[in-house]
Amino acid sequence: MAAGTLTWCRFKDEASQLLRHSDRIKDGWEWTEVEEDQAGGSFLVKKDVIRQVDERVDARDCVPLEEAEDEDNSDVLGVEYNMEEADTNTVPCELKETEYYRYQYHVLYSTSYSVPVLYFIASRPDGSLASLDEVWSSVPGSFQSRLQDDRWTFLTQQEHPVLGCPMFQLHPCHTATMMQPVMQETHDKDRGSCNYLVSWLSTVGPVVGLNLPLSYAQIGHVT
Amino acid sequence: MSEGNASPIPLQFAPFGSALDAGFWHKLTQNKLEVYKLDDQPRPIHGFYYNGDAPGLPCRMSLEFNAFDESYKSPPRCCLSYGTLHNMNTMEAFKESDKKALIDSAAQKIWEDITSGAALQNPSLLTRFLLLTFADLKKYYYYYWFAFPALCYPDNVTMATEPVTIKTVFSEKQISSLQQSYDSLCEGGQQVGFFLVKRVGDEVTVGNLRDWDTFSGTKRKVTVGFCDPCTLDKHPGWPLRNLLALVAYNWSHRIDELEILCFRDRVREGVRDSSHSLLLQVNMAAVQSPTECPKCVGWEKNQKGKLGPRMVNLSASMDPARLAESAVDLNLKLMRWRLLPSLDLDRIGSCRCLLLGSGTLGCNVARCLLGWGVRTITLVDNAKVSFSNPVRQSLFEFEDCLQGGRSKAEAAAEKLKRIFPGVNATGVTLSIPMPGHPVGTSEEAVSQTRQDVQKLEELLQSHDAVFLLMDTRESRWLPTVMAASRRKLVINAALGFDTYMVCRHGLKRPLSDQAEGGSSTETAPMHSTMGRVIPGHMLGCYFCNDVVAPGNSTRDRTLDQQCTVTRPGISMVAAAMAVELLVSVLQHPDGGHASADTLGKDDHFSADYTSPLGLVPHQLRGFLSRFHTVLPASLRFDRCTACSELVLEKYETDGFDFLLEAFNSPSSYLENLTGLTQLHLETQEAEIWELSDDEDMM
Repeated sequence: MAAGTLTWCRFKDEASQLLRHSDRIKDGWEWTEVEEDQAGGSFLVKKDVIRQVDERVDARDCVPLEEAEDEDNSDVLGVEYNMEEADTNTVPCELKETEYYRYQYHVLYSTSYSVPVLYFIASRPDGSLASLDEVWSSVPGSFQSRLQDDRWTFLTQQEHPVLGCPMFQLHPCHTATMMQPVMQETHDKDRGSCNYLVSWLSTVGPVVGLNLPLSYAQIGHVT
Repeated sequence: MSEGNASPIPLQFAPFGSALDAGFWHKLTQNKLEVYKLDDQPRPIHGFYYNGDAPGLPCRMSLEFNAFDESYKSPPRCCLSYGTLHNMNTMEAFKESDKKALIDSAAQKIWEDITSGAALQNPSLLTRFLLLTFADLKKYYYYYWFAFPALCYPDNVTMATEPVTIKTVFSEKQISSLQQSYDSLCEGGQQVGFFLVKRVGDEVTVGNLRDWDTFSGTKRKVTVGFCDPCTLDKHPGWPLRNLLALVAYNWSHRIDELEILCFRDRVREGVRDSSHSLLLQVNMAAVQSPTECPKCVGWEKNQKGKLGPRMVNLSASMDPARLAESAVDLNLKLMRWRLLPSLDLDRIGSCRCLLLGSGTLGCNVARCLLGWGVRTITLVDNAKVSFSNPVRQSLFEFEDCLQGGRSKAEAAAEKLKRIFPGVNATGVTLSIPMPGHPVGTSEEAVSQTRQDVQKLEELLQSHDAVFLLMDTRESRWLPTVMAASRRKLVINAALGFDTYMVCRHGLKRPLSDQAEGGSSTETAPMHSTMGRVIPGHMLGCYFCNDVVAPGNSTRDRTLDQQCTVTRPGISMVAAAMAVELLVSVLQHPDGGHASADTLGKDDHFSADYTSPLGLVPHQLRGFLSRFHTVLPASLRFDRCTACSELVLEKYETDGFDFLLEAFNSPSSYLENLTGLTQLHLETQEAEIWELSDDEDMM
């Protein structure tokens, strides 16, 4: 294997290490098998990561939604159901619905680059997708500068190679270059094998709002 | 806790809010098209809720792409809910469906599950929900309405005291004992959403609802727990409602005090915390077991806070054409983010391009413009696609040649839209009148020519840049005159067998500037010595500069007259250069007024960049035999037959009459007008105007 890359087998092994730790600390990662036995056909998923919309950015400003009630559908949306009596046992609803995005992160294996690839998507509660600008705005400020400067944060819009739905992808073209010194160092010190996935994910994840708790660092060192 | 006799506090529940992801709608669409079709039978679906949210988030019932799976498994640490999908075929059916009957039938099922004992075996049945949908798949509009049925039994429940968090009641040991016991209850199966709780010393144990008798025995005070998706500190979430119904139905006569554990279990930075769970003391006086299903509430309110449906427009993520647009834009933005922060993509994307000629050059220029995100491309040609075309003219196929061939301009525009539906591409079939090609004097012919001229003027007016990509030299004359007069950017490309020439026409100063007396420099460009740099408004046009390569005899035929036999790659190279030249011009702060260096030889290898993209030359002349390009610049010629003041003035004052005279007269007319005849008596100008009617020429 070229420096900074990993094999499909190692990807699977490390993913199962990561999953074991995630189960232990209840971090919510899952293994999705779609095309079993096929290199790249199974992947790690972390769903339902909720992040509130930053108050500074009104989501509606970023992407002008088409005027919904332009034609004959206004009467559909105007349909009201009055059969239900006022229910005193319901917590009175706040005026404005809380704005939040649900993130989904997928870690796939790229057979062409022999590195892991991070895909992600953010949905509004109604299932519509957040634009990239909205995604950025929900990422902590300290990471926003990294988006500008770091070469490995190359973002593209790509179809999910297994599921086929549109997602954002941190492009894998610089991953090996970034990981080479990391893997070299841990190898030299001979401190037991370092988990490539954990090192990589903890580096690139925060840029798109995915944080890996520190305890993942124990993987590989403590068996 | 319960000793006080304070007045009872009403128990209010935070309702579920629906949370869908794009994958859910994708899958619904797919199912509608491939499985359900017109069948609107209710379908089982699945959702989940989570009791580990950060404060401030609403209770959510989440549905994802796998909601339709028969062997559904909720995500780790999330509780499963069973749902019923009613997907309607029409908007009418969606509107007219009987909402009361729908929610009543769902409530009936829940009531049956409680009374039959099924819910004791599988408490997830308590959180049944229903979803009414109508998918307008033409527009990718989805109408939907969720109901989370909650039985109003026992009604108007109260609490003896205000809710407290368990950390005020439980020790740390008890909390971690609770976590461990809960985890072992869930081991190997689905997350358990409802359970019994028992405290003995430091030990807190949980058990299944079905084990009430063995777990709680005959105790008059019991604790029942549920996974609480609510994050409010005074209120429990919706799942408690049907749990209370189940408890009241089964055991209200056997207990005096009911304590509810609203189990909230979250992980932050890898550290688990359940201490914010709530304890509620519920007044559970013995209630009459109803003989029939209690009344029920639960339709979700919409964004306006009313009981009504919601609509989501998913065309941005579902409409393939919109997806292609955003992917293309993102790719271009990458170039800006990563390599050229000063790149102004809007200036390129919004530049409306008129392509005169839809042959090899036209096709390749159009494709390259697509690559740069140009959204308005209009192609003009008067020819039809012939059998020799598709192999070189990259927008055509064999099919386009059949039945006499399709109009080149229209076929090319249609292909562009097939490649990228986001482009506003138009094909215009039009013959461009040419000087020296007499129109005749018949009324019909003159009126046709008048129309053609007018059409071309309109096209020029409504575009920002013009590409001259025709097969003859003389057809470039009219658009050159018109564009110069209207101060439009012109990019010209012409091909020889193994040579090409790409140039931008000098862009005259805006009319307003000239009025302020800049005319002395305008009229005498030939005599000024400006060193190496020529300002943009002083650069020549195609007709100011011969297209033959420097050093060749003027007696050579012009390049474009030999072009039926060009090396195939030449057109691709020249087309790419033409587009890149336009883009470089657009990125230069002075745009078309950018000055050009009169660089000789290889100076351009070391010259300083004049725009973010580098040099903005006047001309590129390429020689494929040597794989070499030079970048000369030349001054405008004050006797040019196309862009000189003499010609422009005549065009601007006499308009069509002047043009008609130029078309109908022998070429000497223009030469006399500009004084060329006098200046170059011995030249072979006549050859330039040699006619070419061969449509297959490039």
